[in-house]
Order: sequence, then structure tokens, then C-alpha cells
Amino acid sequence: MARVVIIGAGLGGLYAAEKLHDAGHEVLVLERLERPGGVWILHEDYEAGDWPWIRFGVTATAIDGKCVVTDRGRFCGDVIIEAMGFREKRPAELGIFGTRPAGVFALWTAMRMTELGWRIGRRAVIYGCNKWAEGLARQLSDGGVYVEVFGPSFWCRERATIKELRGSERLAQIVTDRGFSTLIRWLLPRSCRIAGWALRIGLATPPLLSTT
Amino acid sequence: MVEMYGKYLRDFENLTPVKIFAGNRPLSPTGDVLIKSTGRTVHILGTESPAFTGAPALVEDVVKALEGLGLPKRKLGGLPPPKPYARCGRVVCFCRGVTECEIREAVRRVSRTLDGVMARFGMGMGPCQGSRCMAEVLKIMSEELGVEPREVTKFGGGSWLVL
Repeated sequence: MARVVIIGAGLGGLYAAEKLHDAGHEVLVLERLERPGGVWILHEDYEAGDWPWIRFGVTATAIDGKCVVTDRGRFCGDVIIEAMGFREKRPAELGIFGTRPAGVFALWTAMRMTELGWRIGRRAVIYGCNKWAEGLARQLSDGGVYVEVFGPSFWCRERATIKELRGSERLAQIVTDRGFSTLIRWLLPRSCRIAGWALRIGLATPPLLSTT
Repeated sequence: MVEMYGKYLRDFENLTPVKIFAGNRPLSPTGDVLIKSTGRTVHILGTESPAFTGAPALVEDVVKALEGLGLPKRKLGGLPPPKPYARCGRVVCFCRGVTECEIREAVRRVSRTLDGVMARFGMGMGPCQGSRCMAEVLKIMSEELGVEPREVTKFGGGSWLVL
């Protein structure tokens, strides 16, 4: 019988909590947000319940011996489990350098913004193709955003590597290794657009720009 | 770069860089900091990285150089020390331990853009690169400024964040 403090009420944290509870341990889960699920909840249609062993709205900032230091005081136990495994790739790991105009969001940010009821844009490109990308794509398109998903991995249906992000204020264009790329908004002058020579140069031309 | 500098860091292959910077900076021909006055301008060259740390010492030389140019010296009243931010409430940024109160206070004092608020506290520069706090900061800002989130910009102009 041990008292276990788990940081994070995502899939990992909750699974560990269940197993440890079944083994007869006392479990306390600390969660930063007001809901469980972490990055695994990409829809709001989860069942709200009463879980006395989860403390919501508690942000852990440090681990001090056998105690977790949070903004709501210290939570001590015999064992502390960090279940905050999910993280996005950083700019350097992605290999996309340069400054970031507005409109470039990490998965968590995009997810949370959608959850809070805001639209992150009219068209979106999700870079990377895993479960979370799929979930986010579904969530965004439910909110009326035109979404394209591609990534550099071999399992991606649409394969492309982003080389550069362009745009001075808001993100305007994404340059990939497959030539001149997905256009989020036209950078070209209007005359070029009417002439039509620059159309259909993307990976998938958004329907609004279709030449047909 | 990895080949050249990898040997200086232990376990380089397993490190995940948070951010990579590159840039050009002038080097002083003498190998030391060069303080030179031309006309009514004083140049401080080749400070390299310790420019910020060395600033209080460099200022003394600059003042001497300016006095040499015949500029009048005035004594200014000291600026009041900045009021510290009160820390209370929920921790919004757990990489830097920034609380909700601090963000609200920053918006009330001066910060009007998302980058402004985040740069003030070093948010977005920790291991999560701002992915966990950006949406929350935007929410707090829109509440504090009394505007819709779509009116809050990243750095002004057309840098809107959400619709």
C-alpha cells in the first residue's frame, strides 16, 4: 500500500492510476486543465463525471523529493509518477527555421484554441500525420476550417517536407520540397491570379482557388 | 556544425535542441573591446557576448569619450525601480512558473500583444516552446483587454491569431 501522486490526467496517467488503484494503492492524479484526457481528447463529447481522486486546475512546477510542488500547495506521496509524456517537436527538430509569423501553432495550442471555441484560420495545414493530426484535422474541419494534412514520414499519405514558412504578419505561404507549395493566401499580384499561370502548383489546391 | 561542436558536448546525439540561433557579429581588430568616437558618435565594437554584463563598465569609458567631445554633462534623477509583479493564482506557464496574476498585471501595465506578454516573462522560450500556454494567455489577454480573442494580435498589424 503506497500513496502515489501522478502528474497528468492523460491516457498514460489515467491508465497508471487505474492499474495502481486495482493493485490496492492510494492514487492522486494532478491535472493542469479543468478536464481529464490531455491531448487525447480531441472532441468534447466525453462523459463528465465525478472523480475525487483527480485534482483539476493544479499545475505542477517542480518535484521536491517525494513531494510535487504546485500552485495549490504541495502534494506528497511515497511514489511520484510523471505522466506528461506528450510533447511536440521543436522548431529545430522539425528543421523549420526562421521567425514565426502569427498563425503557426503547436498541436496543443491549436487543439486548445479550438476547444475554447475559436477558429485558428480559414485554411490550415497540419504538418505530421499521426493520430493527433487526424483528430485535430477532424476537429478543425468540424469547425469549418479547410484542412490539409501532410508530413515527412513514410507512412504519410501526402508526403512533403516543409522548408520555409513565409509571411510577415500572418502566415501567408508554406514552401515544401515538392516545389512551390500550399498557398494559404495569395502572395502574387492580382494580375497573375487572373492570368491563372500560378494556379494548381500546390500539393492540393484548395477548392476556393480551383481553376475549373 | 554538429561535427565541429559535437565533441565539446557530452552525449550530443541524445540532446534535443530547444532552439538554434545563428547570426553575424563584428569582431574587434585588436581582440579587445574597441571604444572609438567619430564626430558626435561613440562606437563600441567587438563586445561579443559579455556586452550586457560589461555594460556598466563600458558606460564609464563612453562617458569619458563623450566628455572628450566637449558635450555638457548633466546629472539625471534616477529612474524609479520597476514595481515587481505579484505572483498569485493559477500557474499558466509551468516551464517558467508564470502565474495568471502576473499576466493580467502585465496587460494592465503595458503589454498589448501576445508576443509582448510572452517575451516579458520568457514564456515560449522553455522546453514546451509556448505550446501549453499560448491559448491560455490569449484567453486571459482578451478578458483583461475587454476585447474578443480575434482582436488580439501576435505583434500588432495584421498578425491576428484566431477568427
